[in-house]
Parts: sequence; C-alpha cells; structure tokens
Amino acid sequence: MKLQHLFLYNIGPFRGQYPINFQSENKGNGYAFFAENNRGKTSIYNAMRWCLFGEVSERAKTADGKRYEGGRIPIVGEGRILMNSFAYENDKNQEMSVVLLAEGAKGSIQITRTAKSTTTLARHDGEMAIQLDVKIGSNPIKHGREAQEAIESIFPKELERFFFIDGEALEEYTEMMRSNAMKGLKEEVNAVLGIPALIRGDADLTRIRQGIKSKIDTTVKAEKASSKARDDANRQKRVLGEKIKFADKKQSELKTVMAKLESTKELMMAHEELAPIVEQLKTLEGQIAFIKENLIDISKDKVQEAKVAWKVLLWKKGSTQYNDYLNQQEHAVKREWDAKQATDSIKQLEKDANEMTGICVECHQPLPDLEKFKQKKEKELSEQKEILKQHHLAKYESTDDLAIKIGDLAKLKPQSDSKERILRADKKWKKLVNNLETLQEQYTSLDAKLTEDAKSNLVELGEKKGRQEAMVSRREGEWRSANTEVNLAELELKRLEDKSGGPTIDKKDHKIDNIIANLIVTINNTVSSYRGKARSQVEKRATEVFQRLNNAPEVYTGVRVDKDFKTEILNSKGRPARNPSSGAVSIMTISVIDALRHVSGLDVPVFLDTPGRSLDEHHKSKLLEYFWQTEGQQFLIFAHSGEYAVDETVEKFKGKLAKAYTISLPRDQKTCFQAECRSDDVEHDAYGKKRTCNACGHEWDLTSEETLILEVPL
Amino acid sequence: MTEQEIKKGSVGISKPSHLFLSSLVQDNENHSEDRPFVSIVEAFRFAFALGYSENKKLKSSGGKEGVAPRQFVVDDYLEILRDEVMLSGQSLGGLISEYAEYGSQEMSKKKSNGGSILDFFL
Repeated sequence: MKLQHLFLYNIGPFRGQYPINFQSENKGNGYAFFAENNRGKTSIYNAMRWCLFGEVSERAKTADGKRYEGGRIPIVGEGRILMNSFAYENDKNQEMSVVLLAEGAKGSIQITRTAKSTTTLARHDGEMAIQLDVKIGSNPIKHGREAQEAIESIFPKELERFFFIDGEALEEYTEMMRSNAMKGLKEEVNAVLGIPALIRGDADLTRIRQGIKSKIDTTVKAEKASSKARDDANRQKRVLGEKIKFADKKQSELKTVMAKLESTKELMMAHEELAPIVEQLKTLEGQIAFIKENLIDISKDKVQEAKVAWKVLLWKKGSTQYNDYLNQQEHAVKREWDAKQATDSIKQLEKDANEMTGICVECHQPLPDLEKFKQKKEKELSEQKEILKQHHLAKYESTDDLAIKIGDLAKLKPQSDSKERILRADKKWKKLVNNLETLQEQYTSLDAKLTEDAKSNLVELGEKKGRQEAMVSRREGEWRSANTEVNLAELELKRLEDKSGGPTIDKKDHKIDNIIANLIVTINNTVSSYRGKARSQVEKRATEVFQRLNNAPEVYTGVRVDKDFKTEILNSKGRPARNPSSGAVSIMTISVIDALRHVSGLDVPVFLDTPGRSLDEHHKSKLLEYFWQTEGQQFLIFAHSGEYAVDETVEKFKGKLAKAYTISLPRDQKTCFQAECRSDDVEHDAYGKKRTCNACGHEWDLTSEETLILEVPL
Repeated sequence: MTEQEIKKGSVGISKPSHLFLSSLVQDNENHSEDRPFVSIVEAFRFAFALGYSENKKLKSSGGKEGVAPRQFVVDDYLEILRDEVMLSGQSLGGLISEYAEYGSQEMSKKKSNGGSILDFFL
C-alpha cells in the first residue's frame, strides 16, 4: 500500500490547509522530512497516527527545558495539543482535519478524520465532535466504528509500533536490551503473528467452555437430584400403595361395624313396644339417682340438727326446775334484802331509844306523850327483831348456790328455735325419702312389666348398641386418619414426581465441550508452533539486517532470539557478546523490529520519527542504505537536520528517494524558496524583518509563523 | 344422803337396746334410713332425755352394754337428778341408765310402728 496524498488542516504548526503529495516519478521508496526542532516533523507524524487511529499518545519526556507528561495528547485544551494553537485560540468554531489518500491492493483508500467544536470556543475534547469517513475502492463510504475497523484491517493498531517507529521508542527498546531488563519480545511476536487474536480466541473459547461446563455441571446436578427424586418417588409410590391398602382395610372395618350396628338397631326395633317403658325406667333411674344425691345433704342436715334433740326433750322437764331455781333466786334476794332492812331498822330503833331526851329536836319543846312514844318504838323494835329471828330460823338456799345450779341447768337448755329446726330438717328428709320411695315403687312397678327375657335382651342390645356405636366412632376416626395419611403421601409423591422431571443431560453440550477443548488445544499448539517458526524467521531476518547494518561484522556476527524472544548479539564464536557497543545494540533493535515487521507481512508505509538520534554516523548511513531501496514499501523518515544533513542525504540517496521535504518557518529561509527560482541572491531589510530575492523579487516576512513545507528538488 | 354421798356410777344399757341404738347411728351408704345420730352416745343421750322427759324409767334385764364414759359425763346431769338420786340412793349413772333404757324401748316401739325417731317432738 502506498501513500498518495496527505492534507493537513489546522494541526500542529500548520495553520490552514497543507497538502503533501507523495506521488513521485522517481524510483525509490524513500521519503524524508527534514526540519529543525519545533517546526512540525512530529506533527506530521502524529497527524497520520491521529488520522488512522483517532488518538496520539506520547511518552513523558523533557525537551527544551520543559517537562512533558506522557499520555494521550488532547485535540484542544491546555498545554500540548494536536490542534494548531492559533486556530484553537482564535477560531470561533475550531476545526482540525487530516485526509490521507493511498493506493492499495483493494484500490484507492481515502481516510478523512475531522474534529469540529460543538460549541463556541471549545476548551476540551468533550466539546469536539469527531467525524471519520473511509472509502476503500468502490465500496460505499463508511463512518464511525465501521470506518475504524476498515482502517485497522489495513493498518492493524496492534502492529502500530512496527510502522510508526519513533526514535524515543527505539532508544527505549535499545536501553532495555542493553540492560537485559526486557523479558523478551513475546508481546511483539504475539502481535506480529496475529496471536493476540488467537489468544483472545483461546480466552473466548475457554470462557464459552466454562459456560458449557457450568451448564453441564448444573445439568448433572439437576439430573442427580432428579434421579434421586425418581427413586424417592418410586419408594413413595410403594408407601402410598400401602397407605391406600390400609385405608381400604379401615373403610372395610368401618362398613362391617356399621352393618352390625344397623343389625342391632333393627333387633331393638323388634322390641319397640317396650321402648317407652325402658325410657321411663331410665328417667326414673335418673330421678332416683338425683334424689339419692340430694338425700345425702339433707340427711347430714338432719343429723346435724338432731345433735341437740336430747336437750329439747330434757328441757321439757328441766325447764320447770330451772324456772323454780330462778324463782327461788328471786325470793332469796328479796329475803336477804328484808333481813338487811330489819337489821338496819333495829339498829336505828335501838339508837333512837338510847338517845331519846324528851325534847323535840325541831321545836325544842318537851314532848307531851313521851311514854306513849317510847312504847310505840319498843313495839316496832320487837317486831323487827322477830322478823330477823324468823329470817335466821328459816332454811333457804343462798343466792350463790342458786346461781351455780342455774348455771349448771343452763348448759342443758336448748336454743329457742332448736325444736323448729329439728322438725324442719326431719320433715325435709321425710319428704325426700317419701319421694324416693314413690319413685322406687314406680320403678319397681314398671320394671315388673318387662319380662326377664325382654329386659335381658333389651339391656344386652342396648349395651351392644353402645359398644358398636363406640366402635363405629373409633373406626371412623381411624379411617379418616388413614385417608389423611393417603392424601399426605399423594402430595409428597406429586412433589417428588415434579422434582424428578428435571433436565436430562444434553449430549450436544458434551460434544461442544469436547470440540472446544480440542480447539483450545489446537490454538495453543498453533500459537506454540507459530511462535517457534516466527522465532526462527525473526532470528534469521534480524541477523541478515544486523549483518548489513553492523559496522563490525567480524566482531558481532548475528542476533539470537531465544524461545522467549529475548535477543542477544552473537560474537564471532556464535556466543552471546559481552558488553556490546551501544551502536550495535541500537542496530540490533532496529534489526529485530524490522524482522518482526517483515515476518508480520505488513504492507504499509513505515514512518520513522528521528531515527538516528541514538546512532553514530556510520549506522545512520547504513540504516538509510538498508531501508531506502529502489522499490518496496514506502519508508518515511522525519529527521532533525542534525541527524541527517539535507543536501548530503539527498545527494547520497538521490536514486532511492521518491520525495524529500523541508519543514521550516520563513525566517529559516536564507535563499529564495520559490520552486522555480531558488536563487541565493537575497537581501535583508534594515530591520531584519523581510528578505527579498533579487532574482525573482520574491519577498518573505521573517516574523511570519506560517510553516512552510517545501519540496527538496531531487 | 348428803351431797357428798351421791355416787356417780356408770352408764349402760341392755344389749337389745344397745343394738337398737346402734342402728340409729348415721350410715353414709344409706341416707334413706332414719338414722339421726352421729354416734351411739348421742343416741343414748337422746334415749335418756326421752325417758327423763316422760319421767319414766326401766331397769334393764340381763347384761348391759356400756356407753363411752368420757363422752357421756354424768355430772352434767346432776342438777336435774340430784333430788331423785338423794331420795332413791341410786347412783347417778344407774338412774340415767334406767331413763335411757325406757327411752330406748319407746324409740324402738315408735320405729316398729313406722314412725321416725324425731316424731317424739311432735
């Protein structure tokens, strides 16, 4: 594939449109861009990377006394950006674009990537809209992701490092190889061989296989569970059968007992005329039992009340004596009072007699009938003494003795209502006993109406009926219980049957699993085989390149690539060289990278930014001698004028260069840069701001920042 | 006879009367029978009260069955029987026993005639 044109618009130092034409009638595959620092070499290099992949990354570095952080370079924003800084700062609607035209096996290729601000004065990439359009051959224009995929089918992103090679990366590779810190070129080799796709395929297949295995495992587990459930269900069927049989047996027993009960009831119906008597007897039995129950309490009441019955009887007679004692006590008290009165009267009368003076105590006059009064008092005294004498002579019991006797008799005295209480209790008892006797007579009378046989039959049938009713009840309970057991067993069986209907193992899954396993093995074997072949090819190619570029072929004879793609320079004895020169290591690095590119079969231009920065003059020359040929892939270098002198390089490789350009500012031009003039008859103005070609009259402003891309005539 | 010469004696009753009085003691298994007394002592006390209330005594013939002396204290009845005891010279227990014997006979007759014991109150 060959580049035809490149159009830059507002990118890097290139304000406005800059077309670069790569078409040339010269033989040779070499292209060179020469420039001083900060003129735009790397910007063209990055413009092509951006056009192809939509992003540009750079390593952290220090240049011109400034520290640049590594990472993705934004289109717009603060610090280092891709867009032309004048356009970014001054254009109201910022826009940047790169168009790349090429010719390949599939026909012409046109890639257009544009970044337009979505707002006025966009300040970050979020405010920029990216448009990508790709047209290959006669195919319709593709946009966005499809367009990107189309680009990467020609310029594989994973192989970017083999066609976009910058001097800094080369130095890094070289340094790593020198310090032996690099753990081989495994990643690079994988990329070259397309192994990442295979490895991704391997990972994808492994993931798919894990999914299938998981499904198989799940199915196997489910199948095991189903199998167990089927076994359980079969067992449960047997259990259910037994339970049904048991329930049937219980039902049969119930029917038998119910039939017997019906038979007994029919027999009892035969004695239907006796049924009322039997019912009456039952009623009487109940009544008798009830009365007997009551009689217990009534009888106890009667006994309780009868405890004082003897007192009632005893008091019939005892009460007379008791009252008599009470009378005696009353009289005794009176008698004692009378005696006391008599004693007191005697004392008073005797005192009066002794103290009598015949003078009235009130009027103090001599009493007229003194003797008569004395006689009267003596008579009264005599009478009182007689009373007292009679009192002493009489034999009466004392009040104290009478009180004791009254107390003793009072112990025998019943309460006033004792008799009524006793009679009431006795009456109640008698009434109840009479009722009982009446009922018992009625019972006996009724009972006599039943013949002994009938009675015996009825009683027997009644007892039988009772037993059978109890049996029916029990059998019903057993049958219900057995039915419940059957229902439960049926439910359990249904549950197990549902559970046993799980998935069965799909043989297809096993087949797919086996196929994937084989594929994985095949991929791994393929990767291993490819890697082995690649190692051999890379080693062979790298050795060829190294031998052509190396300036001491007698000392360093080749490059060895081991199985892990660690590289070493071999000495003349075919052994790893000790402490090879830095130039040799740089050349080895270039050789290996080129070998990898070669092995990869990439048919794209190679862009080499500042390729000679770490090479000596000899190796720089050898490098161009090797890469620039009269035909083959385009090989573009973006060189600092210190690396390669323009005139010298152009002169030396004229036959192998298709095109050469310088990138500069107007003030860099010491001679006329009109293509048809190129005169060195140039004058400066007095202020050093303008130069004028005396041959053609062309003037250029030395203060202008407009970058010039000038084709070097070959 | 003086107060101090009153003899207490023991109480007793003829065997048939004792048997009869025993039949008047309550039976927890048979409440429909006329058995109004909680013990034979109570039945004896009732019989004595009946004889005394009717002022009738009866000497028992043949052997006698004793009545629990601790539960029947003759002194309790001294006051109502003092005069009679002092006049007759009998022991207090002997007099009580004669009244009780009579009472038992009367009760037995009443029972035999279909009456109840407590009808004596009517």
